[in-house]
Order: sequence, then C-alpha cells, then structure tokens
Amino acid sequence: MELIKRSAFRKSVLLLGGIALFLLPLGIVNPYFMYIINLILIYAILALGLDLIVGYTGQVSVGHGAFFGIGAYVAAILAKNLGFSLWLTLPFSIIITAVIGLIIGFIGLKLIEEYLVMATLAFGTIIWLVFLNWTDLTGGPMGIAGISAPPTITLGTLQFPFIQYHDYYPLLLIFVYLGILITRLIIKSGFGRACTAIRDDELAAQAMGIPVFKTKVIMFTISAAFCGAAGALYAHFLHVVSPETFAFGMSVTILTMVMIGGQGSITGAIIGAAILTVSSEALRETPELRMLIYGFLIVIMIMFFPKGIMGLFQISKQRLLKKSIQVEKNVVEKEGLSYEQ
Amino acid sequence: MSSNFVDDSAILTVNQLSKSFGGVKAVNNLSFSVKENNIHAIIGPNGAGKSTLFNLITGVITPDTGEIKLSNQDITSLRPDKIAERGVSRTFQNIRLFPDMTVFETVLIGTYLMTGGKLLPAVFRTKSFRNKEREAKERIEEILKFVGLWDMRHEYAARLSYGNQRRVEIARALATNPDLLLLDEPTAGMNQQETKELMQLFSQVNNQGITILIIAHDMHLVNTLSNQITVINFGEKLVEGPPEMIQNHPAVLEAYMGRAEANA
Repeated sequence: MELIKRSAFRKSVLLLGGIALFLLPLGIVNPYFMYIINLILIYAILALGLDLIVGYTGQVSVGHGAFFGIGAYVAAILAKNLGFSLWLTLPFSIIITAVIGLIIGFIGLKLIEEYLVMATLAFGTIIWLVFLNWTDLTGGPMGIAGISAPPTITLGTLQFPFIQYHDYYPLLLIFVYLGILITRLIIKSGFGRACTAIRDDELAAQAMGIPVFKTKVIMFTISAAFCGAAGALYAHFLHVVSPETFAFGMSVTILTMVMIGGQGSITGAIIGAAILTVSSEALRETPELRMLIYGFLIVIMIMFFPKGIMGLFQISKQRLLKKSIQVEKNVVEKEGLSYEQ
Repeated sequence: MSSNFVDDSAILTVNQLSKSFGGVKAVNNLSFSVKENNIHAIIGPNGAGKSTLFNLITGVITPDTGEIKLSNQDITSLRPDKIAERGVSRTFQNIRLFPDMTVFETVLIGTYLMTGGKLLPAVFRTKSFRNKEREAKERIEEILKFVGLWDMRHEYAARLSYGNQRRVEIARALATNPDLLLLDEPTAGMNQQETKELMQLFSQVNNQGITILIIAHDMHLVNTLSNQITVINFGEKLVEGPPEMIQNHPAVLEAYMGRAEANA
C-alpha cells in the first residue's frame, strides 16, 4: 500500500509540475530568453525522437537532421504555396518524414551498425544538397521565408493569437508532453521492450520470437516522424527555413543531445536538448568551434559516461529500488498482497 | 532400433542435415528425431558439431542440405523468430542475458509472442493490450516462482550467480511457451550442487509436457536425466539409443578415449 501511495504521490507531483510549467512565461520578460526556451522545446522533441532509435533500439543514425529538415520544408512549402496552416502542414510533415524514414530504415537497417552510420550520413548529405539546389521548390540557399504563424486558437471567449515568443510556448510545451507520453507508451509495451532486447542482444531477442529487422524499421519510422513533427513546428515558429540549419551539423547536434543527456532516458533527452540549445546559442559566433566541441564531447561521453548525465543518477536509483523492495516485502507479508514489477 | 523418419510421435525430425564452414564439415549428413515428451541428449567430443546443430535447428544459420521438421512442418531455413513462434525455445552455451535488465524485465522479453508486440494497441492502451500485459505478468510470476527466482526479480540479471543466471535464461525461454526446449550445455561451469538443482529443474520442466533436447558433457547428468541419447562426432551420428546402451558402446568409448589419449 505504501508503495502505491508513493507512486500516486510521484504522479501528482509530476502532474502539478507539468501544469506549473505553463506559467513559466509569466516570469520571463526578455523575449530572447523566451525564444531560447521555445527552441529547447522543439529540440526536446527531436532528441526524444532520436533517442527512440539510438537509445532504446541501439541503432545509431547521423542523418536525423535531414528528417527535421524534411518536416520543416514540407511545412514551409505547403504553407507558402497552398496557404496551409500548422494544423494541416503538421500531419503532412509527419506522414512524409515517416514514409521517407520507412524507406531509409528499410535500406539502412539491413546493414551492420558501422554501415548504418555511413548510410544515414549519406542520406543526410543528399537531403541537404536537395534543399540547397532544388531552387524552384526550396528557394535554394535563400530558403523559404514568410511562413505563417499558427492560426489564433479560440476557446469560448478566450483568444490565443500567436504574435510573440511567449504565445508559442504553451503550444510547444503541449507537443513536448505529447512526445513524452507517446515515448512512454511505446517503451512500456511489448514492442518497446522488444526494441530494448534488440539493443542489448540481437541473437537472444530473435530467439524469443522478436522479428528484429521489422521492429527496428518500425522504430526508425517513428523516430523519423518525431523529427518531422519538430520540423513543422520549427518552420511555423521561426517563419523561415534555410538549408544550413539542416546540414550535417544538425544531425551531430541532436546525437550529442542524446549522448550527453543519457541514451534511453526521457529526462536525459530533455536535459541534453536544454544544454545543447543553450551552448549552441552561446557559441553562435563561432560555429566551427561548436562542431569541434560537440565532437570532443561525444568521444568523452562514449568513453567515460556511456549512459550520459542520467547514468550518474542510476546508482542511486538502484539503491531506491532495493529499498522499495524491502518496503514491498513487508507489505506483502502483512497484507498478503501480490505486487507485480 | 533403427530410426524411421516418418515417426508420428516425433516432435523434431532432422533429416540428412549438412553444414560446412569453409572446408570443415561441421554437421555431416546427420539424421535423428526427438520423440515428444522425451529428454533427448546430444553428446560428443568438443568440436563434434553440437552447437552448430542447435544453431541450425533454431535458424541462426541455414544448412547446406537436408531438412528440419517440427511435428511434420518444414522449418528448414526459417528465421529464428519464426521458429520460436512455432514453439522452439533455447538457452545459449555462453549465457546471453540483457545487461541492463532486471530478472523480471528479462523474463518479460520472453512473453513477446504472448503479448504480440503490436504498436498501435500499445499506444492506445486498448483493453486487450492491458489484458495481455496483465496475463504476461501473471505468467512471469508463475515461471519465476517455478524456477525459484521470484525473490530476486528486481535484481539485475547479469549480477546474479552463474547458476541463477542460467535459471533466468531458462525462465526466459519458458516464457515463450515452448513445446521444445533446447539447452546448450546448461550445466557447464556449475558446481555439483548447482548441477544437481538444475537437473531437478529440467525434469520438472519436462513433467509439464515440454520436450527437452540437451547438449551435455557431463555423462552422469546425461545418464540420469535423459531417456534417449544421440552421440555425434565430426558432425556425424555415431550411435543412438537409451542411456544403458550408450554407456558401454564401444564406438562411444573410442570417441571419448581417443580424445583423452590425444590430450595426454
């Protein structure tokens, strides 16, 4: 009983904290800070998406910046040429990136790990060249500007227009929550567990009846779709997309977020997104230095902290788990309860 | 006792199976069948092709020639997950656990076939999804109690003693609900007590109606546990029969003695 109470307590704290986060803009005056926070939210969706395939399934991609770009360009093109609003461009961005993700996954995941990295690298570069050179559609190096803001949301008599950065924050936060929810639902299911099993031992996973290739491809597709959604949000938030945003550096940045925060951890992905967004802004004037630092960070993380920042908390988590077993044992003895997991 | 390969009571039939690696014939024209509810042992010197045989049966590698049938259904060259789906589960010679999982989580992976692993029902948490998840967890409780690991379910599997790690592997294999369980040298590296306890576990598993095909080196184990033995050497079948017959068979003695002399 005590255990159930504790988990209920944890849930209500999370819920209240989640609601409280909506009030954050009230305390922020500087629009530039608000802009950074909004960027963190968009990157959080990207990091959650990449973590699904890298952290939970163990398949490394250095081409997810391209899925982000495809999502953004699809939204930009549909908004500019057909006058679609965010609510229409978003599903298109998700579906198109998912289909492309399915194709790339189907080809790339047949390869062993090192070659998957090469294949996604090549894919990312090709997509970037398409953005850069298909001038009629993508605007070439200039990109596409003047992408519409999301339409004003009307709830009864209340109106929520999208004018300043402060207005975007609640919408983006809702999408981050949605991303967290979907990630959790996937991970806490037979499918999600199958992915983790594949990551840990492919041969053993297959012997348990898990269709390894199919599972990987599905997860890769979902992961691409997350990036597509983030792309559409990005396009309507910044009102402009240009090719250099989605170059190889973006893929590395997202991967660094996952690596630093901790692979296979929702909190880790979000912490990684926050750290990298802030440091990217701080190093804005020296982009070359940025890539150097990220590359160095990835190597350090892989060598010394393979589980990222969240890995540092894991030891205490294990201790907590042991404690809760003890509590649970007492409870079971007292009340004859049976408790699962 | 000649083996006849249209045997109705056979759960597994291996027919003229061959597999070469480079110039080495790891399995050479091998035929045998495993009767339902038996504990069937495969013995033979190191390098005789026993593990290759297991990898062929479970689809990890595909044979050059020959066929493998499961209750008269052809499973030759099927993917490992498809073979698992048809009711064949296994443990590995070198224990293969998932490094980041607790005992409970590890065995939960074994229920993949039971829960189906479908994505959309999971995202929408449909009623049938929740029912299946609950059933899977109940089943694991049953299995973990059966193998004696229920109290350790929250421990990381890879941190348990060697004997208990093997139990986790067996529990995971049982969670797939197999008709045929393949055990690849399950008692290698165990002390006497662990071996004895595992042997008890195997016969309990067998009593639940699960056929066992076991690779072993320990002759005592093979003689007490199994009711049929196939001896292979250099990828070929040397002799087959009940333990009493195998124990004193000159060909078997020669195969083992020959090795012993070579070692000396």
